[in-house]
Amino acid sequence: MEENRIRLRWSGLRRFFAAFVNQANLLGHTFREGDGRTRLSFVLMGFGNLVRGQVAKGLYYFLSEAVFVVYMVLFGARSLVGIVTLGTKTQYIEAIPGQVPKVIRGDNSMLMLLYGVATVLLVVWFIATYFWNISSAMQTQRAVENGEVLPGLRTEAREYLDAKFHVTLMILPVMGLLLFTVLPLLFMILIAFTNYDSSHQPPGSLFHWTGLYTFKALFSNSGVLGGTFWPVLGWTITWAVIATASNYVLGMLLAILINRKGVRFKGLWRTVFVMSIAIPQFVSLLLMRNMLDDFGPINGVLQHWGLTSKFIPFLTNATFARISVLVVNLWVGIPYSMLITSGILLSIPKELYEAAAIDGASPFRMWTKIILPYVVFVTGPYLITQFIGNINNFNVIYLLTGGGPSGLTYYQAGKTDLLVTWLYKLTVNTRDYSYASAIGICVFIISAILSLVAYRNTKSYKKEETFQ
Amino acid sequence: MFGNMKRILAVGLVVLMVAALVTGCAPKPKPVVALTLWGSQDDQAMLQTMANSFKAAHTDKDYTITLGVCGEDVAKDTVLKDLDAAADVFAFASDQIAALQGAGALLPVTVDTDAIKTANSSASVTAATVGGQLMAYPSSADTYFLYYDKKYLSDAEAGSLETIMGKSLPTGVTNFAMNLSNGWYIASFFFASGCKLFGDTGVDPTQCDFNSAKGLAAGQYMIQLAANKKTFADYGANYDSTMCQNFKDRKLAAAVSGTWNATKVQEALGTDYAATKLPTIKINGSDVNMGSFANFKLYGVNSHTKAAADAMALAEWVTNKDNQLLRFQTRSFAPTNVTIDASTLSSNVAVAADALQGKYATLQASIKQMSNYWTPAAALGTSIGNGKTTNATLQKDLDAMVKQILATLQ
Repeated sequence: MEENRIRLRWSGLRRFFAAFVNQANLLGHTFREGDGRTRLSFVLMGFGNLVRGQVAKGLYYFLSEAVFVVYMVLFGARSLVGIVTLGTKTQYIEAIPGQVPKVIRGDNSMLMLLYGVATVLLVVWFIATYFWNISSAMQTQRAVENGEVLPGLRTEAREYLDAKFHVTLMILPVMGLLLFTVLPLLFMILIAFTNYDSSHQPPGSLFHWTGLYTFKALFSNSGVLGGTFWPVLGWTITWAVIATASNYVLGMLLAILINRKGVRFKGLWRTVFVMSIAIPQFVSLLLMRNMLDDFGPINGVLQHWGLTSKFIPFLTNATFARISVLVVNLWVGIPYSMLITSGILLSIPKELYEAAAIDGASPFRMWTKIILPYVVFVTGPYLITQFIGNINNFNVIYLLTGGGPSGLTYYQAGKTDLLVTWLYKLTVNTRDYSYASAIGICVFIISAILSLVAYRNTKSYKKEETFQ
Repeated sequence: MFGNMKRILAVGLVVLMVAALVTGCAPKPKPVVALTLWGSQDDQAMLQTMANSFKAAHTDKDYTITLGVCGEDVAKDTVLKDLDAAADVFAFASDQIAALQGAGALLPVTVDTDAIKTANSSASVTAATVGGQLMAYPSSADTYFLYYDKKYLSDAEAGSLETIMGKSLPTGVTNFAMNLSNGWYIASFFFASGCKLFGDTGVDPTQCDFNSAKGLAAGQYMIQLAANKKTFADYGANYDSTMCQNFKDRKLAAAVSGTWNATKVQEALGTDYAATKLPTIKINGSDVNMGSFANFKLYGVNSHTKAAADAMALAEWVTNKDNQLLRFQTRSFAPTNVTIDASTLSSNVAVAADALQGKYATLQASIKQMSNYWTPAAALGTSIGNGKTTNATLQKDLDAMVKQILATLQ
């Protein structure tokens, strides 16, 4: 089975490269075997289709070429140079006393990078169209040679509503995805390889490509950023593990408790605990923040009753704050895991418990041997989602402590800051975009690796077919 | 004489009108200029008045002035998102000037420069200057000072922190409140003991002596202050609201805050309302006045404005003497204009206290390094406030703070 999977993966890669080789081959043998009209399609796109009667298709290819050439001449060529240089001319303001200053506009690295990425995507699209054009020219030539009737516009259009309907359906979503997800994503990933930080803000000063410098600074053991990155990463992982595990186990225990024979008003209890979901998360968090304040109600009550002589720094001492966020997170998270496990518990056949009871199993043994395998089997993927969600749990940290208390040895971060909230501070407060982008990439890589490895090792994935 | 003039004027107008009719050419239309002006939410009504008076005073052009909401504290973030979409004239806090100038967002003030420099306080001009060039129009000054309750403290007693702290007050009444978990306030102690943030010039990004022997003395003072749980309160994250509430409940004798709380504290204390400069503290054996950070509200002109001359005129207009006076009257902001009569200002207790404290205030540096200061300073203040930093660990923590303040990424 494992072998199969590896073979599958390899075949995927092979197919990918084969497609490349195929396209290159296509060029060669089309040129060799093609007649004059087909060969002319190499220069005048759509010519082969056009002269053989496929007017609409031919025009589409021809217009694509025309639009592309015009765009490249007017704008695209400059954009492609721009993405390499990221600007050479800085804005200059001429200040002569007594006169209104003259602003000589310069380049804007940020816009140049954005337009450059857009142009590169356009070039990729054009290359694809170019190959389609050539293979289409060859196909029509073959069809004419074999005396077949060429499909007209109507026939082809009908095909896109029938056999190729999936293409028609997908075209809009894919376009949207490219424009609103892939383009900004590429743009933001590329920023990590520049020095777009607080001291390089266009148009006043330009930023440039710096290769892997940002990552080196982030990973260095001694540097300002490295001295923050590693401790923050450490806390992020610690937080994710404890927050996920505690919510999961305690939620499950609560569900088991409610589900026990002899507990009355089961529905009522479930409703009571689910109530906290009905309150918007940010409201509970902000409320908790106020309650846990050094001069908040909880400290006030504790001192009033004489339990403590001075306030407990729930959110202002590093260790206390870390414990506080973990505990408050229970309040926010337990209802969800309780709901999910309740559902699964109800689906476990009662006979299993009865059989176990007859065999003299203790409740703990029933938990480890019956409930846990069942629940973990079903909720494995949920657990992974929770873990990754906790690595990126912006809400709880940001609304509860704002990352605080600030770390004396950290660069613009606090003791409860996760990588994401630190990233947010670097973006919004200090405008160190390149470092923020690099942190974002790191978070993505960590999440991707962890979830892939964990998912592939869950029973839900390995024994998909065995669950009944 | 006067009648004659009128008659001549009337005849002249009639001739002009006929001439215009005969030649068929209408009077040349006034040029139309559209400007956008951004200020904080609370300033909108006041800015509308200023915009109207600007239009009334400049009839040679047809101005349409659109107001927008953008608080001084977030101006940098909003403006730098897209200069071409940002307002022609916007208000911002002086600590953002380095970032704004660095990103090329500000048009230098090259018209009426000398007049602006002489009309406004030298500190405010320094705050609006980057690299020797005036880059923005000073509008109002902000620092913090002492509010106190005359029921508990006399004017003389409010002059010294030791006296304030030593005064025995009814149970449940806190003597003194100050927000230690905020870099803006804790700088007060460092400045009092003679420390310099960013060197003698105040703009050297490689200098900060907050970890010197003087800094240590300031830190020790804060530690012993924070240890007096019965007589000292911090109020932490909700400082402003908690302070006002405690003044209202008459459970607080004195607190450090600024003009933005003036109305609330006045309402809370009524006839016992008083404000003055910060008190003196005994540090290194001598009584020195507590320092403070001075911040200024400035108006800047967007370098990408389409009508530079008009935008500059508008920025100058909203910060001129009359409009600073209007800002003082409607919003209780301390003007930077030095030609405004001092007796006018002294009628407002908070503004007068603000002006008194101005002598001991240190300007927030107009360099980019300044933005590095807040997080580590807040970390130190919090750590002192909750008792984690003790006299034993103080030097180590001060060193760590200074290292972070002076940190550079490249």
